[in-house]
Amino acid sequence: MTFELSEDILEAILNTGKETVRVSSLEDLASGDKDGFGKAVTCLKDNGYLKESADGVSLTDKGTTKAAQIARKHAVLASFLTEVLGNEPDTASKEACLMEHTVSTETIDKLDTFLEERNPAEPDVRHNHHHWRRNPAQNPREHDSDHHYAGYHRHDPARDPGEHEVGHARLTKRNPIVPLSECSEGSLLHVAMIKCFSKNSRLIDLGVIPGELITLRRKLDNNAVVITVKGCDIALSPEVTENILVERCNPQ
Amino acid sequence: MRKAVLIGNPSVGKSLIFNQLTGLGVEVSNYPGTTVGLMSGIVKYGGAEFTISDLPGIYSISGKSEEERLVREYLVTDDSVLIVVVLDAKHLERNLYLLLQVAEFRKPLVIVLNMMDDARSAGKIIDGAALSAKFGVPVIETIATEGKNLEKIAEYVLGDDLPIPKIVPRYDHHIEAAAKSLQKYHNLSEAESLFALENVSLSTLSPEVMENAAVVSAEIEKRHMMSPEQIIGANRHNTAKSIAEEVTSIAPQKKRRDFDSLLTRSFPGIPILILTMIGILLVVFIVGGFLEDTIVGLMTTYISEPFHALGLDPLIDTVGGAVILALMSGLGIAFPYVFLFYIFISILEDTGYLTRAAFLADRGMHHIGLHGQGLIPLVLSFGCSVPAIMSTRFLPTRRERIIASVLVTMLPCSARTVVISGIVASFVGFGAAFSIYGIIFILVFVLGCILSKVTPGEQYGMILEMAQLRKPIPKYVFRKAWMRVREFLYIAMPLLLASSVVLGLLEHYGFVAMFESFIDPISNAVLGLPGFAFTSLLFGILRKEMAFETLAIMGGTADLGAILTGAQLYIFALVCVLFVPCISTIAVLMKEIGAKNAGLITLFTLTLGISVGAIFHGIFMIL
Repeated sequence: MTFELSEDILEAILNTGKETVRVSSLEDLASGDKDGFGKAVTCLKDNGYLKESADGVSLTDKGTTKAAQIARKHAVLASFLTEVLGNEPDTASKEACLMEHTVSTETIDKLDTFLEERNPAEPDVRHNHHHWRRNPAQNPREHDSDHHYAGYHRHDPARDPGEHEVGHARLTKRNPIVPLSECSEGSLLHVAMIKCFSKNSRLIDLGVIPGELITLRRKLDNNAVVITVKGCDIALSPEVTENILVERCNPQ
Repeated sequence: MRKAVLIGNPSVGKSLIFNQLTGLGVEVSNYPGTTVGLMSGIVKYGGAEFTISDLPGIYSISGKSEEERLVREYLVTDDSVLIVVVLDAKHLERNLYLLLQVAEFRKPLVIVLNMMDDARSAGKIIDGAALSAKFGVPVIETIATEGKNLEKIAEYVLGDDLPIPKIVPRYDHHIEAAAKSLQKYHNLSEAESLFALENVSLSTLSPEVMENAAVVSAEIEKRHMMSPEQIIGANRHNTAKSIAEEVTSIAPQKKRRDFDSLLTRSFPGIPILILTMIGILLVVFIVGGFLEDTIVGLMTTYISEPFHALGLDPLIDTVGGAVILALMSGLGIAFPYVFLFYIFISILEDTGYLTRAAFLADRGMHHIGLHGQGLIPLVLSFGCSVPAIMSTRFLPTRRERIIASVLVTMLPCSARTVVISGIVASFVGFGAAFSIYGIIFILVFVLGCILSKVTPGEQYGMILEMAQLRKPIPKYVFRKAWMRVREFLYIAMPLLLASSVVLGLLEHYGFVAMFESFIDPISNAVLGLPGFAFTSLLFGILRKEMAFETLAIMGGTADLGAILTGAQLYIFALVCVLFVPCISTIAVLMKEIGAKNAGLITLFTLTLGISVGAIFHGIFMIL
């Protein structure tokens, strides 16, 4: 029980989109079991998933990765339940909440591929901009698989991000792919792709690669930003920012 | 003698390790054919010695920048070096990326895990032994700020146990297959085959190899919808990530204050930035000016005057006087300005504030073809062009270095301010003095806009790592400043001495008087200035204030208003401020952007100064 509750806590913090969350605001998850909730939080802190400060708790890098994995499982399962089985979205979401704790990453990946193949976008659109999924390389367990990159496609950068909704019927309806310059301060983001790559190859060196989880630390009104990637803060000019396409990690 | 090189990301403490190992006996030289500085020094340890070089800080060795290319070539061509890779333990994962690349050269290597204390307070405990086992090479855990364990680096370099890293990152199988076949058919090393696939040029790779690799790369790219460069990069990052996870354990974090919420927001970040810059400028202006007056005053009283009082042969007197004058000019810049400025810059750099300032200034700098980092040279230039040009080496591209250098030579340094205030403000009026500043700023802005369009090289956006905020260590701040002073004296002194002696001799043999009578009609027609005024401008190239001092000497009176009209004084100051930077500046320009560009800038400012002067002469005539 504590295990599932812990995962729910991580996911809930990620979903708030805030860096620091007050513990009291999470107590709904406990469903009356205050003891269990306290234990879960302590356990998360001990294992380095959460850190506590005066303002509340926040996710560590490790915790963020974990939370993002769970959020992805949730999104894929919910899509499957609504689109393939035709469940009501509300029920689907609740059931996805239960299943997300036990399902393996392999199953989720296969399910995701299945959904993608079953429901391709209109042919002419698909030809030009492929469905984007989170880079499977994020998961170390998949590191050895041959189709390491096969599931990861680029889409046509020249198109308006809004158009991607056609090709990304499921995940992207919640999480459209947008330029980094359009995100707000404090949001947690997955890098989807980098446009004009050859001009920005320094980004790879710093670890800003598709699939990487980044935090938007600071954004000035001219869209110059500071992001945190791999624990380091990186300042970017506006012209670089608009070339980085990201997906918001906290499905609303 | 054994040879070691330090390689690592920027701001991992490489230079600190280098400084501690070598002490002050350091040579700064350029890589052949470039302006990238290479610091080398000799380390003496336990009766033996070895040389160590501090390669520029880089994030990767497959990039296109001058620094990356140099490190790459260095590693490929020099077989005798021992590689010391310095890692920031706190940001281990990101730092491992470079280490993985360097390890593929299969040369003797040692890993230095620096900033172990910082990593611990950030809640990360790194298992050095596990890391050592992963790579198959020794790991030395250091805290460079305290000098802890640095002697172990020397022990390693001088020792006999020099293992070669054995780690092999897992690449996508298409990449691995392509790399293998390239290695086989063209007899390449692992590292070379990957560079070829990434389309990275290297002196040991023939065009034929590059062509073959390009064909294979195109196929892989088609298949993966991703360039091999990106795939290889992502694979390395994944390997780095899994290694970092395996060797890091989490400990409770120490709390630290997040100053960035103040420093990187528009408010109060920008007011803080402006106050900091103005503060530094004022201090250097006031303290630097005072120190310069003191140095020049003392040297005049105790060296120059007694020397002239000796009543030596006129020729010896002239040459000796010229040498003293050159020393005075050099020292008058070195200690008051270069030293003082570099103390401030080192503090800004070591605290990590410099990167925050660059982030905030990025927007404004864009208009003139520069990025945030360009703020520093421009601010410095109000004090003295010399340290300002020396600081252009922080700029990431040659294009930006050239633009910044041109603008720096035009902005009024403190010496030019002395000319403006001493001539225009005193004899013409404050409004006129400010109008000269106005003219210069407009010219700089217009020129910046033009240069950003015409200077060759692509304009990249700023991608800048924010350095960790930390307390500077006074000892290293002073040491850095002192190194700059030495460097400046070293490059500027010969030129200063030569030009001062030549000017002295020209004067001695009457050439200056000849020049004066020759230039008098031209100067009168173009600028409306008498010949002696133009001649005294020439002396301004030793030290800008000297134009002013010489004018008084040549005019025979300190009351300049009595010998020249207001319009003449105004034009004199304007031309003096704009035209030809002083010899010290030219020397530093030559060092930083090459003799050709330095020559072009000198010629350009000469033309600009005279044209602007001529235009104003024309306007005054009409009025």
